[in-house]
Parts: sequence; C-alpha cells; structure tokens
Amino acid sequence: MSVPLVEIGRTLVISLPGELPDADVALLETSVLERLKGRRFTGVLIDLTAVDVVDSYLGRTIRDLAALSALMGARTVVTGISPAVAITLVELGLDLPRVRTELNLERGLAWLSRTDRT
Amino acid sequence: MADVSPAWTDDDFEGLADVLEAYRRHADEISAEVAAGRGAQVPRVRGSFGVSEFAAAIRARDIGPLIAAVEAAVPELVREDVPLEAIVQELARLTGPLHKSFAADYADDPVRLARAFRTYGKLRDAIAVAAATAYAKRRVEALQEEQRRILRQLSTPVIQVWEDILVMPLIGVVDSVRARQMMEQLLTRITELGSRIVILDVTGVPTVDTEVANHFIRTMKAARLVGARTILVGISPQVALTLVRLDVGLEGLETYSDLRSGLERAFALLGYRIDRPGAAAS
Amino acid sequence: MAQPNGPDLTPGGHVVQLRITAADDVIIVSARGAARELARELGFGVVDQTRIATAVSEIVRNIVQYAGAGTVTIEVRDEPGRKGLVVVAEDEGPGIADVERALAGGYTTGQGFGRGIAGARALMDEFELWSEVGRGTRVRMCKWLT
Repeated sequence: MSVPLVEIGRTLVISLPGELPDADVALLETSVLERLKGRRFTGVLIDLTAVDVVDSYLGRTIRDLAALSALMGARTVVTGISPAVAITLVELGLDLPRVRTELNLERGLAWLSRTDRT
Repeated sequence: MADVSPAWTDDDFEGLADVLEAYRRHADEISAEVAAGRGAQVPRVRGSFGVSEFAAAIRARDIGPLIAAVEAAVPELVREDVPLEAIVQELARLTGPLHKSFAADYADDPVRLARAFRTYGKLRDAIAVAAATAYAKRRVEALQEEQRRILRQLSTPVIQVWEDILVMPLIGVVDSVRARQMMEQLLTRITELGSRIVILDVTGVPTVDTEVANHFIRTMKAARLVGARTILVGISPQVALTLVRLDVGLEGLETYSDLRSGLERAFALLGYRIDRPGAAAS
Repeated sequence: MAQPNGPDLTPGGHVVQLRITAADDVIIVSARGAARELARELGFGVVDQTRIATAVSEIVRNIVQYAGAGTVTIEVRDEPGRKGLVVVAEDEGPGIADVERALAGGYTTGQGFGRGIAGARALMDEFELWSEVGRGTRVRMCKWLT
C-alpha cells in the first residue's frame, strides 16, 4: 500500500490511508521529497481524515514531513485529526507545536489559498 | 473499624459445636421449615451457611474467617438489589427451627441447652452486625459513585454562543477524571460544529492542582490539533499561580480576565465588529 | 457462606495472543486492530480505544525493532467490580539497559523508540516494565473501565 500524493494547483495533498504499515511510513519522506524536488509547490497539506491511530512513529514522521516541506519553501498544514487522535497525540507529547492545523481538508486548502497571496 | 465484638471463649466454641451437632441431626427438618417460612414470594438469598466453614471455625476456635465470608458475600447481594431486610429475615428464619432442635436434643441437660441458645444467639448477632455493616458500606460506595457520575455529566456543558465560538464554563472542583471527560466532550463538539474558537471559562473554579492545570494545557493543545484556538478566561490568582509554576509552555495561551473580554477577543479574531447603530452619538 | 470467586479469566475466551516476528511489520497493524476491537466490545469509548490501540502499537513496534521476536497477549478482564484490558508483551531480545531512562522517554535512538515506551505508559492506567540485558523485556499494561 502506498500513499497517494495528489496535486491541487500548486498544493501537494498527502492523504494518509487508515492503516499504514511501518514500511510505507518509512517510504513516505523520500517519496514526498522526490515530488517536492520535481515541482515548486507553494503548499503541502497532510490529511489524516482516514487515520484512527497515530503512534509516536507516525506522529514523528508527520512532524518531520511538515518541517521538510517548510524547508522546501512550502506552507504546510495538517488536517482531519479526529478528537481521539488529537488527545492521544497530546498525551504522547507530540502535539505538533510548529505545525499549522485545521479541522478538515476544505479548511486546510482555504488557509493555504489565503496565505498563498501574501 | 475498631473491633467491638465480644470475645469468644472456649466455652462458647463448645456451645457452637453443640449447635452444629443439633443442626446436622435435624438438617432436613430445619431446611424444610426455613423453606416454608420463606414462602414463594421472597427472593432466595444466596450464600447460606456452609456447614464445613462453620465446622472449620469451631475447630480453629476462631469465627473470623466465617465473618469475613459473610462480608465478602455482601457486595454481590447489593449488586443484585437484595434488600437488607431479606438478608436479616433469612437469618432469623433459622432461629425457630434451630431452637426446636436444641430443645429436642439437649432437654435432659439444662446447662448445655442454655449454652446452645446463648452461643447461637451470639453468633447470629455477630453475623447480622457484619452483614449490616458491610451492606451499608457497599451501598454508600455505590451511591457516591453514581453521584460522581451524574455530577460530572451535569457540570461540563459546552455551549455554542455564536457561530464558530464555543464556551465551556467550568464550575466547582475539577478532578482529573472530570478534566479528562471535559476534554473529550469539548473536542467532540468542536469537530461536530466546526468551531474555531473555544472559550474556557474557569471563573467558577476556585483552585486547581498541577494535575488538573496540566489537563487544561492538554485540552488547549488538543483543541488546536482539531483546528480551534483556546481563550482562557476568569482565572483566579490561585489558578494563575499554579499555571505559572507549571513547567509547560504557556506561549500561545491567550487569557482574559472575564468572559466578556474573552468574547470580544473572539469576535475580533473572527472579524466581527460589534456595532449599535444610533447609540454612538450619546 | 458463598465465597466470591477469584478473577474469572476464561469465559468467552477473550484472550488474543499474537506471535511477533521481525520480518512482519504488518503485525503492528493487526495487533492494534485486535486491541481496539476487544476494547470496543468491552465498552470502552472511542478515545480509550484509541489510547489502547496506540499503546499496543508502541510496545509491539518495540519488539519488532529491538528484539526481533516475541509475543503479545491481550486479555479481557471482566471481574465483579471492574472491567478492563490487560496487555502483556514479552520478548527474549537484548533487553533495556536503563529502564528508568526508557520510562522517562529519554532514549532517542532508533525510529520512534523512547517516546514509544514513555508514550504507552502515559496512555494506560497501569504500566510495568521488567528488563534484563541479554535476557529480554516484559511489559504489562492495563486500562480499566471507569
């Protein structure tokens, strides 16, 4: 199972599937980096709507992905975190303090388009 | 609890041995009479005397384990809603038939007969006291648990005061269980309604301990992850002190003295302007 | 008098045991799925189900990455007075040299370990860790329904 990377305008949307084995999580950073190298994206959106468990490994990967895309010059937002995942992330001490978060995909895209203009 | 029950002498245990002997000899008649006295409508109280436990207590010269067994059986009876009266009555029903068996067996030895009556009464009292005490204790515990549950539900309302704005007023003592529940409830409402701002009003909270203050911080962090910003209002000096002493990042935590200022800030953040046409001239 | 029985573990056969090998990292996904399902059946809410699934994920990964092989047992406890889930993870791997540090989240080597042990502990009600270098590690953690 690989993670679909979708381009919407100049935004790269990474939709994480519900159950992601570690091997696929490990490939995530390189495949996103490949895509960011090829084209200039102004925004990266990581959507967790389908994800119902985020453990420390996936949590760190998401945090690193966000940092990576920011370094590559793209605004980054994480969306679709469920209440249960939000609570466990905070209890794990992985509350993504330097990452923008929005309720859902729609709001994430809206935020990116707002910041796009500035 | 202090042990106020009377001591048991060797003579008492001799008496109990006689009681047990009489019971064994007349077991069938006694059971039949107890069953008749119970009638059909009364629920059967489970956990009647175990003769072997009784015999063991006599051999060991110690009624402690017997009493402990009574106490251990009580929670199950409480759970099944067996009234205390039914338990006591079940015990009382045994008395008449047993007394008859003493009279039949020890009629020619008045001293022994009297001792059987006396020690049986003493044992019955001890069992009744143990059962009643354990019963009351268990009932109070169950009641307190229920009260806590209801209180927790009542005391954490989440109110949508405006589109995109939720207010969660906290009143009274917040313990860690309630704080956890509060966090879940709040996050669920934020995602259901798509709220962007949460005003946590702690005006009604006199004090918080470190644990609960930590829950506040966690709630704010979790709310941010689902896309909502938290404004804390109504902090008492004591609560402020606890928050400051906590070694957690308070950056990004917005606080206002009261609900009104918090609400004004929320409106400003969302781009609303509060306007009263015609009133400006005065 | 009737004696209350000790904890009755067998009815319903609510014990799931999973064998873990390093070759198979999908086991992490299966283990947390099984844990969530048992938690749901027992009556845990979604947040607690997620806490349990996450904690199981952490300790199973620990075995996959550091010990290579081991077992995880997830057991439903339905006793008079309390209900809960008990998870036991055992391996015969290299063990953890500094247990205190692992529990505090101090280890940062490897992929996600360190936070993992401390994280699992933060998510559960009870957490115990035994480890001996060269012998292996055993984690026992519980969550009770309140």
